[in-house]
Amino acid sequence: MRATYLITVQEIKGFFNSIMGYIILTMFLLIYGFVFWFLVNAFSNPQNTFNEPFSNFFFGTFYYWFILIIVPPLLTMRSIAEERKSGTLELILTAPVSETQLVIAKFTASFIFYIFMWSTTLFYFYLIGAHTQLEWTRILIGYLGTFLVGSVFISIGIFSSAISKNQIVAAIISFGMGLLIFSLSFISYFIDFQRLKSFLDYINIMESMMKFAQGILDTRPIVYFISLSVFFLFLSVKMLDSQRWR
Amino acid sequence: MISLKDVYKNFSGEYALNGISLDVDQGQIVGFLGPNGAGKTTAMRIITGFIAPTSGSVTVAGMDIFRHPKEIKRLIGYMPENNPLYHDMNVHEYLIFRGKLKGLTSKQIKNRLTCVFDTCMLHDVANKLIGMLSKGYRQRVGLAEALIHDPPILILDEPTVGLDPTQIRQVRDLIKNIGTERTVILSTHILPEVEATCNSVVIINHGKIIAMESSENLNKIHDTASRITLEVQGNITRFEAGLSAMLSCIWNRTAYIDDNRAVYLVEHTGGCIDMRETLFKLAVSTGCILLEMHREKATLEDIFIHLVTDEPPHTGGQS
Repeated sequence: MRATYLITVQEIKGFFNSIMGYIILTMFLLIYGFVFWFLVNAFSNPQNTFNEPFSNFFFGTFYYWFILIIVPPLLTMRSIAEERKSGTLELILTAPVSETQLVIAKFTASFIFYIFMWSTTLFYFYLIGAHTQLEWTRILIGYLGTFLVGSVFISIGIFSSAISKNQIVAAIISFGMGLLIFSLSFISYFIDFQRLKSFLDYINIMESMMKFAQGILDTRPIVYFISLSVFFLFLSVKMLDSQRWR
Repeated sequence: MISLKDVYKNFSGEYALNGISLDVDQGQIVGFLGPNGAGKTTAMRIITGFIAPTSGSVTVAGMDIFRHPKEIKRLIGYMPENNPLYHDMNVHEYLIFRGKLKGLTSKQIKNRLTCVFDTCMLHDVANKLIGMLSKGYRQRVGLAEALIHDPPILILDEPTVGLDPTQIRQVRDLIKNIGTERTVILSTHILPEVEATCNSVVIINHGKIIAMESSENLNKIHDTASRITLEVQGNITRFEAGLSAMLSCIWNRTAYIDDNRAVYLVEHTGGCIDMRETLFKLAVSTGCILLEMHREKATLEDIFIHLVTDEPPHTGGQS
């Protein structure tokens, strides 16, 4: 537990000691600032009428998914691959630290950074809160969904980093896998076979996230996202462990 | 303290370790000696638990590495090959991080920090970024890291690689000091290093232990190497005839200066036997003058060959 905490803190410091964390934050704020400006403009135009509240769009634009798929690989690509490349992985694993502790620490650090990154956008809601009625439960459920989907992509990123030595390769693998899992969402639209369709609906990341954005708190997607994250973290641990035997 | 029994390690079909059995007692400084790729690093990584052996058993302080990996890791201070460090941390911060990771409390760390800063002479660079340090300092930081939790066992993989001669001497002295109360295993491919620091030597080649010697023994072998360079003046045809008549001796004329002056390289095929006296007498009896007689010290290669077979390194013969 202590080792996990220590490595997590160390890793979070790493985000802010290197330029990487600042680049990701800046790009994110620029892009999401633009999304916010765009949405506020659209909502404030009296010619437009919207049936759904602001938060539905805030957690559902093209940019939203773009960020969700692109940012986790960038956050996680260094985590294990860089340690392996510089040889410090050997230092960590020969200290009394288990592979599980290492993987959990790396995941937690990236996840905390990710949460911090999204939390900055709470300021946008504060800004418009003065001018309109906001349903905070809906918004917070939207954030919860964002964090859960993010945890899936981050655990995929940790897994990719655990299997590669080069951080660029890790980023490409995790981007590819993330995109692939996300695209599974769309297969169900083309399938008639009912049983398969209902299964695909269940694993549909985009549909599940849209429910969160609408403020619907459903346990099924929560269980799905958490188990998917745990699955990829488990794979990462096994991957690191198996490298001892090769 | 450390015991390996029939340890094999297979890397994708090739054996990096080929049945190594070894016992290291408490308080010993053991040198793993061998050429690059011999299996030294693999053996060390197995002891530290970074990789698992394909077969065989390894116990450290009576505990099996599979059953008690964490307990064993607490006992070992390890400096891996090429001394990897976090370059974006400063020395002080890094040592605290590693100390905590190894389970020390803040109070213990405070005590240990002053201790390792003294032993490794790191006071000047405590607040510098590791990435900015010279190689000698980094090596010392690596050693300090290995020592931070006061481990009874130290495993150092090529601790002096890439250092300049004065730094090498410093690191060797440091290891000797540290090793007075600890079990130390270090690896190197430099022979004098082993002589200078270790009580016993394990020679590894192609994943096998080909010899375990105390370093005094090794010293003897090293000292009594049998390759002798001679420069002879006088009746060299008689001298050569005399050389050829000598049993179990191989000679080679390496330079021909004029009709009565030449340089020879003489070796004894029976291993490391001192032939200087015989050669001197031969020169006297053939009426030649010895202008130079120079005995080459055995190289690591010679010792390998001596230990593995009885063949001499060169089978030159007459030219």
